Amino acid sequence: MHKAIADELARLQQDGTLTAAQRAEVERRLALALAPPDRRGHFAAVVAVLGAVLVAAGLFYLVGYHWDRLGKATQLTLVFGIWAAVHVAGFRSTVAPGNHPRFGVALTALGVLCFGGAIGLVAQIYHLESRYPNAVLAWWVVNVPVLLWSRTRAVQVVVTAIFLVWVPWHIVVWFDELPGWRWTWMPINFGLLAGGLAALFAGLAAATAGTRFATFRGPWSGLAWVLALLAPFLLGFHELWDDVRPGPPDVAAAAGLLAQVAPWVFPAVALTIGTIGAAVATARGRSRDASSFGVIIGSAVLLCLAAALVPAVMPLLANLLLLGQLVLLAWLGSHRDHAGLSVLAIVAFAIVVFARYIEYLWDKLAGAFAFLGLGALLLLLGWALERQLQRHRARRREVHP
Amino acid sequence: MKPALAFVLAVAPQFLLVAGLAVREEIVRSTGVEVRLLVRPYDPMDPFAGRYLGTPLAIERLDLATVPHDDGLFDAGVVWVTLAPGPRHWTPVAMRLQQPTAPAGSVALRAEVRSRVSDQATNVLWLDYGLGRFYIPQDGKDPTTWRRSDGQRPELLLVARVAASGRAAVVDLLIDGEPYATWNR
Repeated sequence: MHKAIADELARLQQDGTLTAAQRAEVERRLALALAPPDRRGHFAAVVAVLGAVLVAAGLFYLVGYHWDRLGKATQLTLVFGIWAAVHVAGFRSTVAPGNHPRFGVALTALGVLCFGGAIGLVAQIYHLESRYPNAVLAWWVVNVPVLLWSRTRAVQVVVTAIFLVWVPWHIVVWFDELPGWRWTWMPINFGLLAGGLAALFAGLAAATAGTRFATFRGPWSGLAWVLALLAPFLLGFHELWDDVRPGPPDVAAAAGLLAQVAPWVFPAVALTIGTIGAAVATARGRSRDASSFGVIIGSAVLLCLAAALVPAVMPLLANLLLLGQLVLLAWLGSHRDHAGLSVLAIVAFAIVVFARYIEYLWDKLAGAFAFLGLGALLLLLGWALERQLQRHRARRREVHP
Repeated sequence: MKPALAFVLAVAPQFLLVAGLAVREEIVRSTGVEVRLLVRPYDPMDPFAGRYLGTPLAIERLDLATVPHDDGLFDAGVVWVTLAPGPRHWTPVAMRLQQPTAPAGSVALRAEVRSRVSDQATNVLWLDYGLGRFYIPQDGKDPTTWRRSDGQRPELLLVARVAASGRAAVVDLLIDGEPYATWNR
């Protein structure tokens, strides 16, 4: 433990503020809290998972090669044998006897990937096809029990990635079959979908915090923020809404749109789950999670309602919402000392500036004035914030010299 | 719950699903009636699935004027196509809204309607029988680019088995009457 802290604890015991038992307990807890992160362990886990991904890629290549010199029975035996062996080895390494937990997690992730390879091989042997990506749907759905059993981030990332492949794939096939669809429907619906998925992952992150699945919270929370920014970004392009005439909300037209556009099902379902998750988190008293995730869910609801009821104002609304989210994200990053959120806010801001520059500010003079004005405003804001911080520190020094 | 039991319960559905797929196809193959369907091929590549030949069937687009059919069939989502054997391949003889009792020597194949093309002269349905792929080895010969010694394209026939339920499973691809594996040697 840091020498200064140890000395301070000794003084607290000497002056009677702490008993010997209390000092020992404080030292134990501080030792746990200040323990250096297990960087070597993390590195070993990352290396093992990368190895698993490469082995899975090799197996997919073998499947793709369609080695017809091996008979059908041999192919099936090989794929089931390798797949089962990978899962059993993963179980033995992580649980019983559990000597190599990180290696075992990598093997479980490999088993999750092998499931997709097995589906592909059987489809190949029997010449199966599916217009909708039902194989990918089965791949992530049937892996959910493995995710819940393993409770590891490696498996979480793999299953979430498969889910994120399936959703747009399914929607693109659905769009392909829509009679008379316009090109603008695709980005609009993907924007709404991003908002819905953001709500879903925010809800999942909120629901897992503080439970035995708490390890899932971080990646899903980060993903929720990325999707939450993507939604207004996509919906903020004015070109998507150019053929919409301004006017009062048309509930009948909105209902017709809801009935016709199937991808609305996804945001609706996602919003429901997200809201339930946020409610669960609130009920457990984790207001910090619930409030930030509530913003994500509320934004998704606002975007969906506005797109249906007042589509003419969507470019303005989406851009304002996006800027608001960026400010909130930057504040959360500094307030919680979370560098990742701050970096996300800065990168997203740069992308937004570049995109809107292409869209609105192609005229150099207007662009120059806009950037000069906004830049000066942000510089002023930075100066004011730093001044406030200095005053705050000065007050603290007065209280605790 | 014991860890081992939890692990088995988590993993077992995956194995059951893949095994179920294989068993389902084996049942159709072993119990179905064999039909031969004319193919108009092309050759896409699917990076996730390996190399395969697209096998768009000649019976994939059916003009209602040429096949006896039920009323209201043009707006249906699922139709049943009765096939009867011809001299070289099977051809449609009827289209129904409900699964018909196929006459002896014929089969009723289930199809989903993918799209409809209608003008003053024709009402064409584009049907999906789920028989659109035939996987070939990475280094296998491609019958779609191959030509006979007389410069003509070969005739491609897809061999499938149709179960009593109307589901069909691909069994083989015949190139001028020769199974693909034999032709590929």
